[in-house]
Amino acid sequence: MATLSIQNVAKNYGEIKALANVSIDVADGEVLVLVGPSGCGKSTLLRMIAGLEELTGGQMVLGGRDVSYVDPKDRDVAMVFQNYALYPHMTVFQNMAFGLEQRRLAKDVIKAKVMDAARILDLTHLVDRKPGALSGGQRQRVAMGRAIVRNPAIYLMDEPLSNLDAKLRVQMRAELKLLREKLGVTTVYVTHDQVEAMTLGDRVAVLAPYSDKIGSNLQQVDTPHKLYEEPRNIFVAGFIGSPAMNFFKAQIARKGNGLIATIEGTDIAFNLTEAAHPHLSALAGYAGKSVVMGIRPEFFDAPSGAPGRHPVDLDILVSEIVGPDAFLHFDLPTPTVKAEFSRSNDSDEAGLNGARFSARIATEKLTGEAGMISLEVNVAKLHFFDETSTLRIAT
Amino acid sequence: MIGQNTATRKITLYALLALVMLFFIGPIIWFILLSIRPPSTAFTMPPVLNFTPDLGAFTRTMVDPGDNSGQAVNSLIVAISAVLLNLPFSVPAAYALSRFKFRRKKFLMLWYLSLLMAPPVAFLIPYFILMTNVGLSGTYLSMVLVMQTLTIPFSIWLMKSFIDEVPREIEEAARIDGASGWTIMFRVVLPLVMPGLIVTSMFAFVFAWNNAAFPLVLSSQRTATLPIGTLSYFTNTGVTWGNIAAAAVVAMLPPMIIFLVFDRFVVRGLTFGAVKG
Repeated sequence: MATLSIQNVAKNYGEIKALANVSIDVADGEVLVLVGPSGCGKSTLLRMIAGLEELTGGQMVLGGRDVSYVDPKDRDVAMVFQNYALYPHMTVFQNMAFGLEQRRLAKDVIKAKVMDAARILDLTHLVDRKPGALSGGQRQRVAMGRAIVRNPAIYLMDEPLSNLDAKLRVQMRAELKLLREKLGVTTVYVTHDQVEAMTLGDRVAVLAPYSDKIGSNLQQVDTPHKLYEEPRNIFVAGFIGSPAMNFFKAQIARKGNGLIATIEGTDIAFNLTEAAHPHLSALAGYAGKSVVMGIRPEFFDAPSGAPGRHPVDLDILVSEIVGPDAFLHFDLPTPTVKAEFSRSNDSDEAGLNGARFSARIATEKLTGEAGMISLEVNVAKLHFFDETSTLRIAT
Repeated sequence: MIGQNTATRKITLYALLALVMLFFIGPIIWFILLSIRPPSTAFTMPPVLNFTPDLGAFTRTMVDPGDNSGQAVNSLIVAISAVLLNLPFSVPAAYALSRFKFRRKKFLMLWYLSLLMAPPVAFLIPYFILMTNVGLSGTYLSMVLVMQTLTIPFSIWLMKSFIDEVPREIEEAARIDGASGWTIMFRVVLPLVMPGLIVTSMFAFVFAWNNAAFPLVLSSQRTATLPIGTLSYFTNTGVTWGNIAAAAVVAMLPPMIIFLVFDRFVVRGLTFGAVKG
């Protein structure tokens, strides 16, 4: 058990900046999830914590000790690899015992520890098998076991569930959550799956490929709830949430005591009042200018007439019914907001039939699958971002 | 009609295969027959097949008066030593070439290969002079050393391809588990490339066993290997084909046995299960 402090860490490959100015503090017993699209440096950062990649700059402090240039074997970390990286010529028992043998523990102590871990992970009946004779889920558990027996200062997990099929992944995700409650060891967990990030992380760090504009890969570190409710910038807003947030160019104008935000090129306009947006003053500064407005697909709904809802009639191009939810895809004659992010790992980025926007409503409330459909928007859940800095404007 | 057509094609195919097989195996069978047939029928055409087998050539070459059995022992000494000297050099080199990034790596790999491209005969005289100057001419060591110039480059290439297939993550997992470089090498990497070690040793052994050029100039009467013994039956006074055949058949045995026993290692597959299969 230990704290981890990542201080201004940087990694260059020749001229290319893979990571720069990343600073995160992980509390004792906390699970920090690193999430981001391919090439954002999340795996590199994890490997730097493990000591498998050298730091180009900054410091790595583990349990109060500067381990920036310490060999992996002397860092007291345990890692679960994406492809498990089990020793194929050793049995499950030997796989788990290997790390303890390196630490020259007594044979009976090793045996007790390994069998203990095997019991926790339900591997007792498999200890004499070799990895080749195990299923994907079992191999994954052995990889976990190899980390658990060591009782390290910190667990490092590199997309440990990504090689499992969908059903097993959900099951292992739940098991991981239980396991971490049982063990309570500081953990850094890398994933590109935001559902994993949101469910497993005490806090989530969103990383993006390095750009000189922001000067760091780190976009935001926060609780999953805060990331969703108050994304710091357009990147985080677009990355967290599925389907992704819709972004529109909107004109801000004063109207009475409040403001009005009109989606450019359309007559869709939302009245913003102090009641729904207590911090409207910041946005008031943008009156007469345009901003980026974000609406999450789930804050569209079938018309209810409830207060704070704004009716919109949308020409739905195509809809997808996914069990209880329906995704309605539509387009508006409005300029595209240049998105400086990619969600290459998500399939729902590209629009269907040229639709750039989507709404998500309960299937049972669906009145039709295409054509003009009346919906409403929860105005209190609108997000606003500065066009140039991409930063969130608090409302 | 269609059935007949495929039948004809099948027969043609098998006939072709038989021809190709005869081309490869024919000489071996012919040589084995040559070693046990009476000398008078050695070159008759068509070959006489109804002769009384005679193992006399084997006793003449191996036991009395021939000294081929002693030469077979020499061959064994040279070949086994060649293997033992080969691995400690080629395995670390292959590991380094597989794992580390360094300048001129490609060049180095090709340079190794260039040693295999030149005909070994070209080096015979320089090696002979070299070995004579350092006083090693005629010793087992001289032959073993010179053979390394060909077996090590080949072994490095072969071993590199095996080590390339061991996922790096396995070594990284071992590093994090606290293993030292040596432990990783001996307890993780080498067990995983065991088929490669066996195949490499096999090729090194067979190469050293069969090589006639280097022993021809480097061996002495006492250290002559079996191929030299076989060649010695080509004399000024005549060629004793039965003896040559008998010695050659004996020389063929070890490589054949080795390939039969270790055949399955040529097909690799031990790393399966390390990563998602």
